[in-house]
Amino acid sequence: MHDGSGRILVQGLTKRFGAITAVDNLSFSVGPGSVTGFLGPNGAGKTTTLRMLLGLVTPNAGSSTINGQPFGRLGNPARVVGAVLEAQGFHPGRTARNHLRVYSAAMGVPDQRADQVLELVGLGSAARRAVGGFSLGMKQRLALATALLGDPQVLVLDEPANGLDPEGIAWLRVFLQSFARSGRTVLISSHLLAELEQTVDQVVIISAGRTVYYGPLDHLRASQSSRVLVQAADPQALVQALHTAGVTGTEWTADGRLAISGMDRKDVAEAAMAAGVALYDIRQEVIDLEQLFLQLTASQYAAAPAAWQQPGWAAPQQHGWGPVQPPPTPPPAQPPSQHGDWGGNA
Amino acid sequence: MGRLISAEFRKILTTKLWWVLLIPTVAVALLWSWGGTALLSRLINGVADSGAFQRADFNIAAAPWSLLLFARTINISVIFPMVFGALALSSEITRKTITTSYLTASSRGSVLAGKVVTYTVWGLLYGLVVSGVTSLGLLLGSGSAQLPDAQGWSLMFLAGVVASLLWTLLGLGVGAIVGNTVATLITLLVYTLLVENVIGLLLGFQLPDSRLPGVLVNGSADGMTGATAARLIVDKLAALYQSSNLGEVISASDRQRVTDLVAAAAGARGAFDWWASGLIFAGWTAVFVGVGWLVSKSRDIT
Repeated sequence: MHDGSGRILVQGLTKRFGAITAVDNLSFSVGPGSVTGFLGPNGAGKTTTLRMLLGLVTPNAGSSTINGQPFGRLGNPARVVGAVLEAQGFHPGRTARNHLRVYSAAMGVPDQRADQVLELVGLGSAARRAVGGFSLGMKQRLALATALLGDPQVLVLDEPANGLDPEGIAWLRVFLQSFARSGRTVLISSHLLAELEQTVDQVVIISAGRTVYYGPLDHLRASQSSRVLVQAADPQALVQALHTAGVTGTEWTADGRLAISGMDRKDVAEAAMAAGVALYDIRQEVIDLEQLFLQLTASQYAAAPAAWQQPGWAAPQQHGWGPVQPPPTPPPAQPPSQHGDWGGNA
Repeated sequence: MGRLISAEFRKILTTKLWWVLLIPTVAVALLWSWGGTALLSRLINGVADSGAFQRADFNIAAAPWSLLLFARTINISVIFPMVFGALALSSEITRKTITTSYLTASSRGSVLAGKVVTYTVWGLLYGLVVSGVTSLGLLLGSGSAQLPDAQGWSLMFLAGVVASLLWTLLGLGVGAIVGNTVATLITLLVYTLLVENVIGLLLGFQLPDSRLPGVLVNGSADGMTGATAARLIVDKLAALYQSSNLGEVISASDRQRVTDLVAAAAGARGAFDWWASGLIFAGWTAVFVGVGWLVSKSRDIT
């Protein structure tokens, strides 16, 4: 029925709701053994794409497969792919355990599996409580339990961190990584890169229904070279000295500092010493992926450069902190705190 | 398929709706049939005691008039199994549990097929309750002379079970088409309780002999029960007539006129024979389930 590869393939998916094109010729693929982040601002088309992948929404054009088959031809799909979707419903009067037993019957797994997944997501003590009294975080855990009920090979999660407490988010992060390490596939969406940064191996970033970046997160990070930021007593003299030494990658930041590319802090400090320029402050610029993400997806409300629509794009130089186009806001002077990341300090 | 039927039964049995709806079903069926037959028996006995029928030796009180109330009680009580069916798919869409239901089934068609099988069983169960409780109401309220014989009783009992079953499935189909709980219930209740009655009323003035009410949804359903009751009553009336002092055999057209009159009294004006009415109503049910299947196949679940 399906090839068991654990691969998700999305090809040219397009969905229009009336005059609005929610998803526009979207393509990407997700391989097994990794966690793939599916990123984009709210309204970028993430939920619609995932729902098309799962056969809940019919695309206007394009196709998608899981394990080499469209969702509708998976046979017993819950044994292949489990999904946690936004606004997934529960009957408020049904207990968590009974909710799972409805679907264990539908997918033909033993009823004990319901108790197992409840323990797994930490809802064992709430098993016999009606879902109507659950908090948002508990409902998210129950949705995850439902997704895991069929012991699927592929896991699709739409904004699963919504409503989860920090402890739950940390737990989810560890869980998803171990799930992927066992050779299975995880596709997880979010509108916050920081939320997924610690969890995912590769990302698909979409904006206004189109792919703007698709590849490993490390490549995205590396695409933006880090610079040294200095406050000097006589910056002009330092620039002069650097130019004489053959370093031309200098520019001014919005807050009046000098940004130097192509040298590390030690080299800059030595050059300043040699030129007799006093330095008040010297620091390595922090690559703020969130900032990059914001720039990538800013096209949602403006025309996007055509070059960005191709997978594996490599054009951040044109849009990063280059001399041609300064960023809309200066990079933060402080390294961004580890706010909202998936709970770790890694 | 067996897995999805089992899942549907669990969906029903793990929530309250099935017994919450059973309470008014029982209450309405019992009160309607009991109170109605008690009144009717008094009325019929009064008429039978009048001089004209006595002189003719025409014991009009010996016909199974209680069947009029059997039919009318079924017609009103099956609203509850109809609501039960109407919520089958529409409440899943409104509550968004349909997402998980579709994600755990091989196809949308199999989800709907599982529901049709499951709600057939539940429609039968509701029908047994409706016919059973109505029978009890007849026993409690009706004079014994107006009760049907065993054959008539089983026919009406069956008509009640079939009506409940078909109404449940028709509700399921309409719910699948409309896809929203409140809108489904309003559509069904406004149509069955208001629209068709208005059509019937207007036709009653303009074309009193029209058969149109008999082909409509509610009209054919009521026709199935009403025509069954009317036929049983008229058969008995004809037998009583022949053994009376009134002598000559009544003509076929007279007999039809009496049948139509009794059918109207049973709440089925313009109805076809019970079997034709049943087929028409079954056809309506099939149409609504079929269209519901088509609509749910392509509905986007967002």
